[in-house]
Amino acid sequence: MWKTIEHTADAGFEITADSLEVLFLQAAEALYSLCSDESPPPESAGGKTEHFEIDAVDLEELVVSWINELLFFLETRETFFLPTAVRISEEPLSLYAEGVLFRPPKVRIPVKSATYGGLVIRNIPIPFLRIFLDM
Amino acid sequence: MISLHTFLERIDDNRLLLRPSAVEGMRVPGMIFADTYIESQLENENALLQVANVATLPGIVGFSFAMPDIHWGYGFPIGGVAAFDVDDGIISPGGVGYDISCGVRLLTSRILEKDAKKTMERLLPSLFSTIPTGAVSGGGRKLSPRELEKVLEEGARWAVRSGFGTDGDLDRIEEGGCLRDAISSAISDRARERGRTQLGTLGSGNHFLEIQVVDEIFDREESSRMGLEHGCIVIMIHCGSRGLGHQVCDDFLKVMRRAMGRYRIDVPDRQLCCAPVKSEEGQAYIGAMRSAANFAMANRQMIADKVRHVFNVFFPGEPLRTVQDVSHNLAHIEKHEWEGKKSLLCVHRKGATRSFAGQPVLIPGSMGTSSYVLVGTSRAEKETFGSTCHGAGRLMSRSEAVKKMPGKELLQKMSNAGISIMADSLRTLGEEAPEAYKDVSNVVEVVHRAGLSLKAAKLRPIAVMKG
Repeated sequence: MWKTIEHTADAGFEITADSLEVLFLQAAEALYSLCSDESPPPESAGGKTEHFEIDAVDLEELVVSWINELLFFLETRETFFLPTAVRISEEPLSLYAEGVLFRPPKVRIPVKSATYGGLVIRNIPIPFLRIFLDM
Repeated sequence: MISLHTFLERIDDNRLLLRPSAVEGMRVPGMIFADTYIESQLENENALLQVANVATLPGIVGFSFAMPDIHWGYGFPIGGVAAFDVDDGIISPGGVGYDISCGVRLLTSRILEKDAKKTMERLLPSLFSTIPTGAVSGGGRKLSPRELEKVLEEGARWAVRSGFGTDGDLDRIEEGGCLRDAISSAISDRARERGRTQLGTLGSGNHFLEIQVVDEIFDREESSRMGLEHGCIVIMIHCGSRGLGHQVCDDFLKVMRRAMGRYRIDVPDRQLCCAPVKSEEGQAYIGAMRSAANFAMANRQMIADKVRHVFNVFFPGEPLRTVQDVSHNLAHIEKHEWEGKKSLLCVHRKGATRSFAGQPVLIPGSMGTSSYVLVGTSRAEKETFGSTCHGAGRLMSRSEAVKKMPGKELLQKMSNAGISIMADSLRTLGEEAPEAYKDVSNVVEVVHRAGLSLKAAKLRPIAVMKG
C-alpha cells in the first residue's frame, strides 16, 4: 500500500509491502499516479517490452536510481515503464526489471528527481519506504 | 526533544542568530534574515534544522546563512547561503540544487501597459505557442552532439554567436553568459540525452514567463540606469537547466556519496553529501555544474530571442533590452574578506542571488503577485558573501495549495485582477497559487532593511505563462 506525504515544496510517498520486490513495484505505481493523476493502466495497455538492470552500493541508492530510471524513460521517451517483474539480488546489490512501455495521455507533474532527503528504506521487519521527490 | 527555536536569538529587527549549540557538530552559527513575520513562518523546524546541518560541513566560513525566503529544501534549505574555504572546505551538489543555475532574465521595453493590453488576446497565445512549456522534454531546439558540446562550453555566447541575440545581451548576463572552466566531459550521456531537445523550453513547476508593468519606482537613478520606465512593460523569464541539470545533480550525488568515506567526511543528512573542493570529485562536479549553468544561460537566451520575435510581430521595431540575467542556484569560487582575512571561497547559493555592489538583483514573486528589481550592495559583500534572497519562498505543500485554491478558481481570481494566464496544466496553476507562498513584499522588505540589496522598482504582472 502506498500513500502520498506532504512536503513544503515537493511531494513524497510512503509504502509498506510484503517484499522488497513488491515495494519497488508499488513505488513505480505511486510515481505513475503522481505524474498523471490516474491509476496505472493494466499491463495489457502497454506496448513494447523492455528490461534493464541497476547496480547500487545500498538500498537507498537502489531505490533512488530505480525511480530516476523511470523518470528518465518518462522525460526522454515520454513513456512510462510499467514494470511487470522486479528481481533484487543482494551480492552485489542489483535490480533487474522487466516491463512494458506505455505512453500516457498527459503528464502533468514535473518530478525532477528522487532524493535522499528524509529517505527511509528497510527490509526488516516489514519492507517500508519513505521517499521525497524534487518537483 | 528541545525545539530548535530555543536556540534562536534575535540580533535586530531583521536578523536571527541560531546558536552553534543547536545541533552537535555545528562549526559556525546560523544567521537567518527574518523579521517577526518571517519568524512566525518558521514553525516547522525542517528548514531550521537544515541551516544547522549546513553549519556542520567542513571548511564553512562565518555563518550558515538563510535568506527570508527560507523553506524546507533537500540538504541545504532553499534560501541557503554557505561559503567554504577552497583549501579545506567542500563542494556539495545539495548546496546548488537539482535545477542548476535556475535563474531569472528581465527584458525592458518602452511599450506602455495600455498598448500591451490591447494586443494581449493575441500576444499571450502567440508566446505560448512559440515557447514550449510543460513537464516532459522536447519542443526545444534539437541539438546535434557537436552543438550541445558547444552549448555546454560556451553558454549564452553560443546562442548569440548562432544568431539568437546580441552582444549587448551578453554584457548583462552573469559572467558574460559563459562560466569559464566548464568541464563538458563531466556531463554524462544520460544528462546529454535529457538536454538534447530542451534548449529554449520553459519547463514546469514554478517556472514562468510574465509580462509585467513597472508599477513603482523606488530608486529613480538606478531604475533609469537599468532602463526601467514607470508604466512601461517588461518581460520576466524564470527557468533553468531543465533535465540536463537535474541529471548532473543526480549523477554527482551518487559520486559524492561513494567518495565521502575516502575523505572521512560524515554528514548529518545524506542529501548534504559532498567532497573537498580540490578533490578529483569536487573538481569534476564544479566543472559539470558550470557546464549545466552554461546550458541554463543559453536556455534563457534562446527563450528571450523567441520573446523578441513574437513581440516584433505586435510591436515592430520596439527593442527589448536585457536588464540582467542571474542565477539563484549555483556555487561560485569567489574572493571575499572575512574577519580581516582575504580568502578564496566556494560560495553556495541555493535559492539565493548574488548581490554585488551596484549589480541588478531580480526577485520574482509568486504567480499573480509583484516582482522586484533590487540593487546589490557592498554591505551584502561584507556580510553575506554578496548574497540576498531569490523569491517569495513556499509556505504550503502543493496538495494543500490545490485544496485551498483549485486551478479554475485561481484563473477566475487572476482574470478579475486583470491578469491573463495561459498554462499547461490547471492543477499546476493551483499548486502555484500565490497563497502557497510567503508575501514577496515582506521578504524584499527584510533584505532591503538589512541592507543586503536595495529596492529599485516594483513590477506588477499583467500576463502569466506557466508550464
